[in-house]
Amino acid sequence: MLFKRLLTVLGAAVGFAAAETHTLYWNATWADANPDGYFERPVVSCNGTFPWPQVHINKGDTVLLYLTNGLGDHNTTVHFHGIFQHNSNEMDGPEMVNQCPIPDGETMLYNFTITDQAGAYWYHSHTRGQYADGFRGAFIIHDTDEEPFTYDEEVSVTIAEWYHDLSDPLIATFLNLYNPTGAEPIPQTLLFNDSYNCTWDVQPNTTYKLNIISTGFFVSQYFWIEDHNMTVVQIDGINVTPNTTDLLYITAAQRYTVLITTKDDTSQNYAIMQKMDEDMLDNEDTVISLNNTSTMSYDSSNGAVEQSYIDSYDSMMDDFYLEPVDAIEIYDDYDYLITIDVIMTNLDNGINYAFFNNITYTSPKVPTLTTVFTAGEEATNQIVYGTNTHAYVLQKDEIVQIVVNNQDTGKHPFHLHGHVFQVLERHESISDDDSPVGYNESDHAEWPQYPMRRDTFYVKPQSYFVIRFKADNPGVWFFHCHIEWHLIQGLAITLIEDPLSIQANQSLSDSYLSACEAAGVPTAGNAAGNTEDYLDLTGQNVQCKDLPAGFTARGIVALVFSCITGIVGCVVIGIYGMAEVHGIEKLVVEDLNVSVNDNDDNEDTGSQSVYDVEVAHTGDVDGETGSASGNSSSARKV
Amino acid sequence: MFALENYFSAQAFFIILRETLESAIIVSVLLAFLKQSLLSYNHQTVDHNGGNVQAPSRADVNEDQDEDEVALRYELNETLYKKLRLQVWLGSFAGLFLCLMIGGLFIVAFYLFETDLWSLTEHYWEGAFSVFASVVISVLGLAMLRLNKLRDKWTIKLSKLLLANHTTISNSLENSPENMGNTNTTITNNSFNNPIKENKSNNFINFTEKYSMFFLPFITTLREGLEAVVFIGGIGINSPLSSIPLSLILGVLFGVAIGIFLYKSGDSMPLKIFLILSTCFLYLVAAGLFSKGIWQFELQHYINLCNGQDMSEVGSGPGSYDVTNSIWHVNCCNGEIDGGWMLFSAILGWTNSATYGSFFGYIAYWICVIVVLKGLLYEERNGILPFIPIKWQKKRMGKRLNFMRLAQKVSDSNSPLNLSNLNQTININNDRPSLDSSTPLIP
Repeated sequence: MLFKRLLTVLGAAVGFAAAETHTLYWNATWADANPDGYFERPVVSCNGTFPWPQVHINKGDTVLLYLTNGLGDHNTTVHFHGIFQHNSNEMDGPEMVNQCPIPDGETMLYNFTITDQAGAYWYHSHTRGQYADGFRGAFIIHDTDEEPFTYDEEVSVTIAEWYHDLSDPLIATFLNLYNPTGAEPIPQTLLFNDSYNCTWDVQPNTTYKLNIISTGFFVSQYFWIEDHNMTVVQIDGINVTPNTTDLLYITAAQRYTVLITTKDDTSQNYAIMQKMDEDMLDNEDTVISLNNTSTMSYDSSNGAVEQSYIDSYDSMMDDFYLEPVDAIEIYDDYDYLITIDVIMTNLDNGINYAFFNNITYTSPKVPTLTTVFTAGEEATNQIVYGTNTHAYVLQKDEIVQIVVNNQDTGKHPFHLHGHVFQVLERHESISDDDSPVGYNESDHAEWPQYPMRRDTFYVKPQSYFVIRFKADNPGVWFFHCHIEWHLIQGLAITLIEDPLSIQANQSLSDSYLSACEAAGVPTAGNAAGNTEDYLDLTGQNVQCKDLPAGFTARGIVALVFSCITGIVGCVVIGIYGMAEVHGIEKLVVEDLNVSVNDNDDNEDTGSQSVYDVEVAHTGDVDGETGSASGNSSSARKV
Repeated sequence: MFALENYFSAQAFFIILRETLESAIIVSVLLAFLKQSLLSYNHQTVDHNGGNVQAPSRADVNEDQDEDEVALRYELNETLYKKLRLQVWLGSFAGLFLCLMIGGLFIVAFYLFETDLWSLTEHYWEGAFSVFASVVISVLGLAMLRLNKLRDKWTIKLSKLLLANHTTISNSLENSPENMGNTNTTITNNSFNNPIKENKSNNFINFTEKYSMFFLPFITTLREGLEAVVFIGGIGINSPLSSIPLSLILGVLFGVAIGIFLYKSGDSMPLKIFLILSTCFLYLVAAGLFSKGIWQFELQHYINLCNGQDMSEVGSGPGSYDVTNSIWHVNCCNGEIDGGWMLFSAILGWTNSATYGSFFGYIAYWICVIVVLKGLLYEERNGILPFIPIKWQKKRMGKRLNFMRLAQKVSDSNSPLNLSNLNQTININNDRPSLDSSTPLIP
């Protein structure tokens, strides 16, 4: 059974268009779908259809999205990944950071204008784990200015992994006492355009602009096209100096825009390959297929293709060395430094969490943005945002440097909302056998003059990266690992950028507030929901307490008891060893008046045994220890 | 770094010591007994009587016997002594040799087997072996405290046996003077060896009777050796194979040294203290093993709940243990992987991650040991076990009483034997299948 699916092929936006408003009505509902051809399961659909639509707009356009939650007992939200949301911070999406969850039956209006961005973006639910269930799609902003590269046609594809289980049970088994190592759930397959057995019909001698958008949830992917080179011209919406490669490594949420020039010859079709980075999987037991093959079809009569193989991943392009076309110089030194260590460990409930330093992100009782608007002057005090949201208040236009020291043995793609950041350094990975290498300010590699910029960048195992950005976009911005499992484990910090400017230039919409009311979330207050004293965090959500590193009172008592019983036991052994009594058997006779039956002495007719012993006066046995020992000494004389 | 745990296993050492000691005791008792009962014959008749059973009237007869007869008898005994001594040594080494052969195969099989079979439920196996080893060490360890008792038992059993032997051999020796031989033969056949006389046609029993001085040490060393092999095989799961040779050599050396000590001396205080200390040590090891066994079961259960992720191999700290079942957990000092702590763990049962099961198991083990020892002590002082209905103890008491009577008759050379008592003892013993030496004599 072979399904041929035509890709949505859209001609490049040509010519100048006046700013438009795109009004979208999306109702998120449950539907059944079988996107990988192996298993039908409930998915989150858009107005009953799956996959979700690719959204194409032009730079300068406005989006009016009415998102209705039709998911029953599940909340929802939507985040447009990579969009700066200038002056529309409440549209950014993260639940309990930038908005309240939208409960069942509610509708929230997302109203934002794209002022200065173009390229490949995407949207997804920012409600705990939900986009694993399908709520995700490509969001393409066509540039109205002249692009620094030429092509004939533009095509956008999404790549992501797929689970056969719903996110709810996966989270339940993941954040579990019996998953002490925090092993991430293993996906079953890879999807291409949230579908399978896809075919991309191409013309010979044509240059295509291919937007490869990872709508992934967890695993990074290798991407290559058999016998074709790809020239990278844009990453995460930032145009870069063309760089040709035959192999891309794409983490969750990253986008690569590549130019591909087709061959002259149409006699053969070629394989478009995706492969999971199996280093990120704890095991492959439940993986159905590590890779996925789609067809680049020059001629449909050539039929579908076989998968293609590569010998190694050595030729993989390193995104660190890409240079932005606009050549913005590295920011001079930083004004504010955030150094955060990535740690995975277990708390007192036995569940494995992810930590930046010693804080695992725990949602506040009031969305952080609500607190910004209602805290008045106190909004500049990071206390009001709670101690477990890991909040940093940034000053207007300061240069912020974030150093991520990864003490974990895995790769982590970190995403900063509302910005692209300059990447100053990424250290090579450190093997599991060695200890992690942290950033040392006085001893690090030389930094590039025109550093690469993007919104999602991964840190390698047990090493670090250093990034900088300018706090020129007032808003509450989430910085988190885009492996959704790790976000669920709390690998996030909250950046509150110039809160007084937010108060001055933005306001909370009625739609925002009504969603909060419907969800039962306070519309004012600090992280604990306190509207009286914003510095009083009594009742805020906090993480579970740490596991004790050593002995607790209970342990000491137990150890002392163990020692005592051991010592008493040894003493008893000593007493027993020293006390040897000879001739005691006589005592049995004397003390108990026991007679050993001779044949003529046997009074017990029921038993024929010569061993039979009868006790004549059992009364003598009890409480006679003293006399017994007296007897024992006399017995020895006999 | 010299990792001690790779070259020495405390558990293996004590098990080998224990088994060597038991073999050594039997051999030393045998040798001492032979020497005492045969070689000192001409000097002290009472010694002979001590070794054998003779009617009091015969003692007077012996005293009146002339010099020639005594000399002849001495010569005969010396020949017999040498012959029997050779049998003892041959038996011991034959047993040892055979056990080494079997044991070698066994251990090799054990290690080959282990790699394939145990990967999935490894901790269940380790747990089962730990508990099993703990129970057996506990049972065997008790005997170490009662070496003298053990020696008494053996002396009595041997005296019966030797008497039978002496008779048989004496009869078979052509030079045997008839009158003297008759004296002994008559008595022994009438008393101790009725069954043998009746079964004289049975060649096998004759054979084993004749060579009992070979078979006894042979069976003993074989049995003890195989026991040691089984336990070391079990322990080998926990400790590397390389730890066995040193433990084995040390265990054997200590065991032999103590055996020689026992042979040369009688009841001695330093030895007693040594035995007590080493028994304490042995029980500490056993308590640790018992606790660890339960711990292993709980660990495997946890691993099963975790879909087979074995976090314990990762080491210590958060994520390596079941927090709901933890009574203490120290993020270091891991007795499974951390150098010196492994020794601490092997000897004293230390764990950095105690569970409720392992803690209560440890406590329960010691309470059991204390109760049993207190009970046995009470029994030794009062003749019966406390709290247990007398009815259930009848058999045990009867056995002890019989043993006592026999012991007294055999060893108490100063008191004249009462023939009626003797008959009674004989009656009892006639019912025992172990009277002939084809059945191993287990203390």
